[in-house]
Amino acid sequence: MTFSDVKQLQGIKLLVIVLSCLWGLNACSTATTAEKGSGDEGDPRVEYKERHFSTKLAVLDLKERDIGGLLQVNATLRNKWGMSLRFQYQFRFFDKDGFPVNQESRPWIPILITGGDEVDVTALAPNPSAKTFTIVIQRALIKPY
Amino acid sequence: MKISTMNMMLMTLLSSILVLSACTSTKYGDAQATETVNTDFGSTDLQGIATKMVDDLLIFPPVVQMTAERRPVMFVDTIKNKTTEHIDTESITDSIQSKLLQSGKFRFVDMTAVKQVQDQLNYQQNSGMVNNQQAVAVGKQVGAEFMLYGNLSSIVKKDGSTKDVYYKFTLKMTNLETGILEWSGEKEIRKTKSRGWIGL
Repeated sequence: MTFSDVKQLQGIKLLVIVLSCLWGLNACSTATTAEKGSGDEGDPRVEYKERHFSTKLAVLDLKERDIGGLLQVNATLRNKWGMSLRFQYQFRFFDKDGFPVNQESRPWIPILITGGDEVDVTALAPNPSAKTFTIVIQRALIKPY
Repeated sequence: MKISTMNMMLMTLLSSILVLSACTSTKYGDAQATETVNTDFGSTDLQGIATKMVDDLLIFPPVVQMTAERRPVMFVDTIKNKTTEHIDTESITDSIQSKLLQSGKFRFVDMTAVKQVQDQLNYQQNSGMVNNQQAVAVGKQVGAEFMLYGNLSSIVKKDGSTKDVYYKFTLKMTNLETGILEWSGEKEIRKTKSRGWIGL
């Protein structure tokens, strides 16, 4: 093996080391490439954590009513995409001053909507102090079963 | 030259181990986030059940009417675990009780603390350590008007690499005086796990 061959071999090994490091670091990343954006349809009550959902998912109707002093809300979600769409949503409630009301009381709800289908989702405010709400939509963070 | 090659290979291996070992970490996450580690009963199921039951109960028209002017007193009995899993059903009822209390629509008597309450009342009344005029009067507790109780059952089916788990949670509210079942709610959950072709 000549001197230039040895040099070339060392260069390849160095490249392998660098690539291994980069691959390893990439594996560590949590892949949170969230592009936060509020409802592109213009409704400030709809928040898409990833912008691509605004093109695939439509929030057709947001309704609210008072039931015994508690705010009940309903959203009609339509999958505008041809394929099934898996994501999760969470309703968040706020008092008259805009402070969150029992933010941790409502979980993220995973949902699957088949292509072109519509689903109604409903929530009840945790207590009578809730006056306004938002619906937040984001991708299902963990792989399905 | 051979030693140099060995060194390089060793360096490559060590670098990879170092980088990969840096991946092991402990971190706090969102307690409300969806959990899909496996098909066993998990935090997402618990939160989903508690939220659905409370929402359903509070929008039931007779309950809306009843709680419009007063806050009825309830007590929570156990949830029977009819599944094959070990599930802490008390944590489901604790969540339901907390949400109902926070709604401001119901009050509860805590039957899990009866012994401690008795001990404290006994101490105040009979120990001679508490000023009689400031001791809490006995015999004035309010009795529960309603009882919450229910079942959690499951059907598990396996076929080769597919496992399907179906949970059904049923919650009931009975009037203790009349024995009438005033309300009942159900929440169903289906989880399916399919193993990939690699077998992972």
